[in-house]
Amino acid sequence: MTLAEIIKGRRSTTQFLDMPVPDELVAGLLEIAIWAPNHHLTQPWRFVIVSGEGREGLAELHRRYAIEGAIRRQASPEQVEAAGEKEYHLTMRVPTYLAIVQKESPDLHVREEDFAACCCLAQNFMLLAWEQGVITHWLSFWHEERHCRFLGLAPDEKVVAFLRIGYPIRIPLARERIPARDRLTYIRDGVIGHVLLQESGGESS
Amino acid sequence: MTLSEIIKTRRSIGAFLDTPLPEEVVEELLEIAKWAPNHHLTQPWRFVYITGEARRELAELRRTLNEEACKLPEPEQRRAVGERAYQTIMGIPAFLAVVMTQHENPHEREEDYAACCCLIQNFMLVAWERGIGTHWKTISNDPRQRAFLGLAPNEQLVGFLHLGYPAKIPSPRDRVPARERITYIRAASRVGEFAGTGR
Repeated sequence: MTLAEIIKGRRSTTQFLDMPVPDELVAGLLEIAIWAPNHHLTQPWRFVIVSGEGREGLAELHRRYAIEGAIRRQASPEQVEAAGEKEYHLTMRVPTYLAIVQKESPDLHVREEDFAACCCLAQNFMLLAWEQGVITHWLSFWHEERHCRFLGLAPDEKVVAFLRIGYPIRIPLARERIPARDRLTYIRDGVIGHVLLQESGGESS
Repeated sequence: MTLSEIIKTRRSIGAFLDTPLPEEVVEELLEIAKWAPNHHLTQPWRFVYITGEARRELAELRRTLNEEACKLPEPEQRRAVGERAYQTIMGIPAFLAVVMTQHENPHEREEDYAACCCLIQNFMLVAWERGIGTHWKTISNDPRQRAFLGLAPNEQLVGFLHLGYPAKIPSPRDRVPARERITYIRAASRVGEFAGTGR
């Protein structure tokens, strides 16, 4: 596959084959993915890989969340039980989870740049995985206390990307996207800029 | 180049050749880069491409901004700082601003920001594959700079990329191996802690 094919062909799915992804494969892809652009080379990241029986704790925790949610909705005891069971199995059906963890700088500008670097690292990882036939699904991590404790997050750490990783059962079709050229403005001769500079009180030409 | 080679050899470029960048190339790169992961397919991005004579205006603006920000006492010294800023901009063939519409909801806004970052990474990788160098800068939110780019109040500049053919490719700086930063959770030993009671 060419790079363009990898980027354009990459899809997300939540439906995985019941086939483990070797931890060494994930770790190997991370060694390449860390070559992300990173202002001041802060390398603000670390990683947590959850796989095999390690998923049990996460699945039990997700069961708790589903049960607590069902109770809040005043579901019947059977529905509460079923909601928990469903969530447990949903979590266990994912072969591997990868948390890309950012250490949050006290400086907000650095923190934003570090977040961007972690996103680029995540994108590198997803492209590399796709090239290997491995599909990923980027979740936003719920920073609830037990969830954070499960991953062992420090108070100044944040999960930028929580990736579900596995082999796809089938590859979803692409949804159309707006052509980039429809969203592209050219400033070639300064005309646009001059108008705006005058409006904002700059020197007229 | 393989994908790994592209990712690992990509550098940020500080010195560019004079060769202009054909505009079709930028459009082509963007059409590929826009295939970034994007929750809810919000497509929160748009792009501003600055090239040719328009750079002169940006360069003058940078001269002014840098002279203003400069703390040096002598006017001569401040002028030199401004002149350097001007020349730096004029030495770069083209610029691409990646602009994001800010969602009212902070959570969605963060997801949109992440999507724009992935798009930029895609762009930098495809550019590199074609021998085009990039340098991702974050630039000041000064109103004059926003006005030059034509940013609306609800728009945020995610990245300001310098673009061109590299005159010099910097050597890589060592990075901490990922394996030193990986924690594995493989055993079920902690299940009890999270299963809770009252099921």
